[in-house]
Parts: sequence; structure tokens; C-alpha cells
Amino acid sequence: MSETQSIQWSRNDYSRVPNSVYHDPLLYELEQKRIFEGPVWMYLGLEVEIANPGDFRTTYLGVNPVVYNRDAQGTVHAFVNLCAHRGAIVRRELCGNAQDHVCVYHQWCYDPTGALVGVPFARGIDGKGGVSKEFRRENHALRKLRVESFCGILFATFSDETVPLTEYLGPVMAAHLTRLMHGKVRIIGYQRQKMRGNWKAYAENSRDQYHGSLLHKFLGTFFTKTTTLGGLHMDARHRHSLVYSTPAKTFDAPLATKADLVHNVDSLADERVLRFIPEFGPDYEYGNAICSFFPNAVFQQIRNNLATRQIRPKGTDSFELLWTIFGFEDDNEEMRKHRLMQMNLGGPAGFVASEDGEAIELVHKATKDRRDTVSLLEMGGTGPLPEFAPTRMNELALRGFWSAYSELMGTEPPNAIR
Amino acid sequence: MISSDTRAGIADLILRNAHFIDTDHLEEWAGCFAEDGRYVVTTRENVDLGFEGVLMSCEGMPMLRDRVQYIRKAAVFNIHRDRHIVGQPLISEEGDGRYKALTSFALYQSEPDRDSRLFCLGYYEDVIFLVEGAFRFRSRRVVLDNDTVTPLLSNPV
Repeated sequence: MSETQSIQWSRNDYSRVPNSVYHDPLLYELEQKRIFEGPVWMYLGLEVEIANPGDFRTTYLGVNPVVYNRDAQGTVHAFVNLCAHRGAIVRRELCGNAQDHVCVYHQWCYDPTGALVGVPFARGIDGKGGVSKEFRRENHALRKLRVESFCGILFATFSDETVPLTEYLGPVMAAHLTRLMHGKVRIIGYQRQKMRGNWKAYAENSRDQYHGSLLHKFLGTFFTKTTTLGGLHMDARHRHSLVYSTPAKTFDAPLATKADLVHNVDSLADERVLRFIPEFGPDYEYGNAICSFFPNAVFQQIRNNLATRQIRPKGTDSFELLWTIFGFEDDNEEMRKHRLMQMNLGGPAGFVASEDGEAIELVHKATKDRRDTVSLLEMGGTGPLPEFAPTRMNELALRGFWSAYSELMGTEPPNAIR
Repeated sequence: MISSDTRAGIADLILRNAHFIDTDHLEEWAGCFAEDGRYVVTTRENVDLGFEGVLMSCEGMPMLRDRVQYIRKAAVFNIHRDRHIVGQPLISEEGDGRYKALTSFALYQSEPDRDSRLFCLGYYEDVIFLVEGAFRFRSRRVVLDNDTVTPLLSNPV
């Protein structure tokens, strides 16, 4: 795709999505430049993962392999994990502790900021060979990212243009993350899932409140009524969304369709997995709250199952999810066991999550050779986007995603809503 | 000294359990566990980093049956057939009539319009004992060498 590539939006409110967006390889390449290397903050990892000086972890932001680590003074740095010499992965391990990072290929050595500090045989041997006279190590640092921390969550950006993180989050998301990260974080474990679909379909899925009790039939079969109330918040620019349900409130008017009627048809023999132990204060009434962060993360509360999900695109046809499940240092023994048990709710085997893998693959499989088809996003209304909707039956945040996406990509339709 | 009958009985339980999954006899799969039996699926990543975290867990028979009930009544997953290839168990005596068995396995999935593929690879770490004349799992920890599951885990492993 050229720099002038466009997406054929048939409506200015993104209530129709051309299904070619999930398959176009040129669009995928442009996303890397304009989204992932553009003026956005990306979810990098958690502070606690690199708690001590020298601690490092490797990850991916868009297609870029990235190292994040803590230097001797305690400052966090992130850089692209691709050797300035021959392009090899420098730090191969998932995590560890080290004072510097040495590429195995020719032993080029980088400090925790990504600066090149060592080039073996730079002066050759016995005055013969070595680098050219013009060679300066300072010109060959690894590409650095700016890092900011919010409530123990690390975010990174490639761009100097990116607005401050709190401004990027907006007041509603910032308040929610503050509430969610209410203690000293303790990692419980990781879950990894790969889906044979496009990363944007997952960004839509996590913003899609409509599918919750319909695709994830566990909820309607064993737990809440499908008519449980809930709602949606978005930031002013509609990048991020917070979709929630409030199990204590249920709509009891007569039901019309078969789908509406599927509720509480059965019960679990052991209901511990559904229990909610209050931990967010007396006013908190969300049974679950899924916060989708543009472009690469989800921050999740499903009962007491707390997790971050990092979305890693792997070509047009594949993406990975890294679920980091956490609790807090001051969890008592009961809460520790409870959170472990509630890991059954999320992840690749999750009672209210696993199905997304199938739904996304079904979409990808069918549209791959029918890129001329379009998706329909009208639940919750069309036209301008609100910042709040008092209902679960909406797809507003999906349109919000496409609006933010198109602005960055330069693919907005005429008179586009924002 | 573990008798050959005991070895055969333990190996039979492990094989039969895999066969129950492959033939969609999930109720019988759950029946291979003791009443207070424990079933956990985790990854090498979590084990190596010392994290308790799991992909799937069932604490006791009610929860084992709930997982099966969920698969029967609510779960939506890729249409597929499972095929376990199970190695020879390495059995050791734990005392109190309990035996520990370590068994490598490969689990292939065949989806109707795709090639068969290796879905999960790993090992079972079982504690097995006799309950009323039949061997049962006291606990089974499934450790996956593949940290990543594609696309999702529906049936037990």
C-alpha cells in the first residue's frame, strides 16, 4: 500500500466495516508505522515484573521485539531488541537479571538504556582490521522508547508527539485503573493464546459488550441473566473503552426472543468459581469490567480474576495474547486460593473467554476470500459517538476504535465522526 | 518393589483416561478421579518461574463435573477431534499406597477442513492410588511444553 492507501468506508460513522481491513497486508505494514510507532502509548508490562535493578523482560510492541529493564538507579528503560550490527535478537531470554545485554552473534554489548557500549575488535588485531575511522558507538544505540508508569503499569511510546499518559488515558480510564491496581501487585501466572485471525478483530471483540452473554453461554447458563444491566464508558476521543455489567441489577421486563430467554437454565455443583469477594470498596458494583486500551491491551476484572492482556500482531492472519494474571501482596490465604481458582474464568480455557478464539477464527476464515463483504455495527445506534451508554446492548466502542484507528492511519472517510 | 499388576493398573488408568477424552466420554474422564481429586493444566513457563497460575483447574468431583457440564451445555470451541499419543509412565512409590507417575504425551487436533496438527505437548504428573479396588487419580498436573495454546483449550488434556 502506498502512503495514500485508503479504506473504503461506506459511512462516516463506521457503522459499516469493510472486511478487507482484516486481510490487507499493506494496511498491516502501515499500521506498524502509523499506529504502533505512532503517537500512542502502548502497554509494555508491569513494574513488578522488573522489580529489582538489572531485572529485564522481553516482549513485543506491534512487530517490534522490545526489552524493558531496570537500571542500577531503579529507572526503567525500553528499547528495540534488534542488534544495530546485523539485526539479530539481542536478548533471547524471556526474563532475567543482567547489567548489560550482549548479542550472541558478534558480542556487541548494550547497557540498560540501549546504548552501544562494546564492539569487540573495534580496533582490529595488531592494528589490522576493525571498524572504519568514522564509526562512532553513540550513533548505533538500540532504538529507545519513552516509558511512563501509571499505578504500577508500564506504558511505552516510540513517538515524541505522544500526549502525556494521563491525558492519553482520559479521566474515566485513569480512575478505573487506579481502582483496579489497588495494592502492591503480585503476579500469579501467565496464560498465552494465539488466534488465527487479525489483531483488530480482537480489539473489537474486547470492546464488544453485545457478545458477552451470547457467545459466552457460561454466563447465561450458570450465572447471570442475559438481561443483567451494564454499560459503557469511553474516553473523549473514543480510543479506549470500559464495558461493565452490574449483576445486582437485572432488567425483569417480559422477554421477547429465544436468546433473551436463555438464562439460569442450570447451576454449578461447586459455585466457588463465581463468588465475588469485595475488594474495590463499598461503592463498586461491577461484576466484571473490561477496559480496552488503544491499541494493544485489555485490563480485566472478571469477579476477582484480574489480568492484563497484551495483544501482539503476528501478520494479518495471526496474533498472540499474553495474559498476566495478578493479585496483591496483601491477599490473604483465602483470596490467594480464590484468585487461583478464578483463573478458570479467563485465558485460553476460560469459561467466559475461550470462545473468543473460535469467534475470531470464524470471521477470519470466512472473510479471507470474501474481502468484498462488510461488517455491520448498529447495536446501540449509529451517528455521533457518546462517551457513555447505560446498556450492554451496544457496539459503540467498536465504532470508537475504528474512528481512532482511521484518524491515525489517515484513512478517515469524508466528514468522519471522531 | 512395585508389582507388575500395580504397574499395569496405573498404566491402564492413564491410557484409559486419554482414550475417554479422544472418544468424547468426558463424564468417564471425570470418573477417573477420586472424589476429592485435583486436576490442573499449566505451562512450563509458569512452572519454571515458580508461579502457581494455571490454564484450567478442578478441585474435587463437583468441579470436575462442572467443567464437563460447561463443555456439554455452554462452551463454543473449534470443531475438532482429539488424539492423544501417550508414552510409558515412569512410576515411583510415594508411600501410604500412593504412586507417582510421570508420563509424556502429545495431543493432536484434527479440524474438519484443516490439516491435523500438534496441539499440545507435555507431561502428566499424577498421584494415583487404589479406591475400592480401582486405581484413581488423587491429583493430576498437566504441564504443557507449549506455553501458547492455539486457538483455545476446550476439552481437558
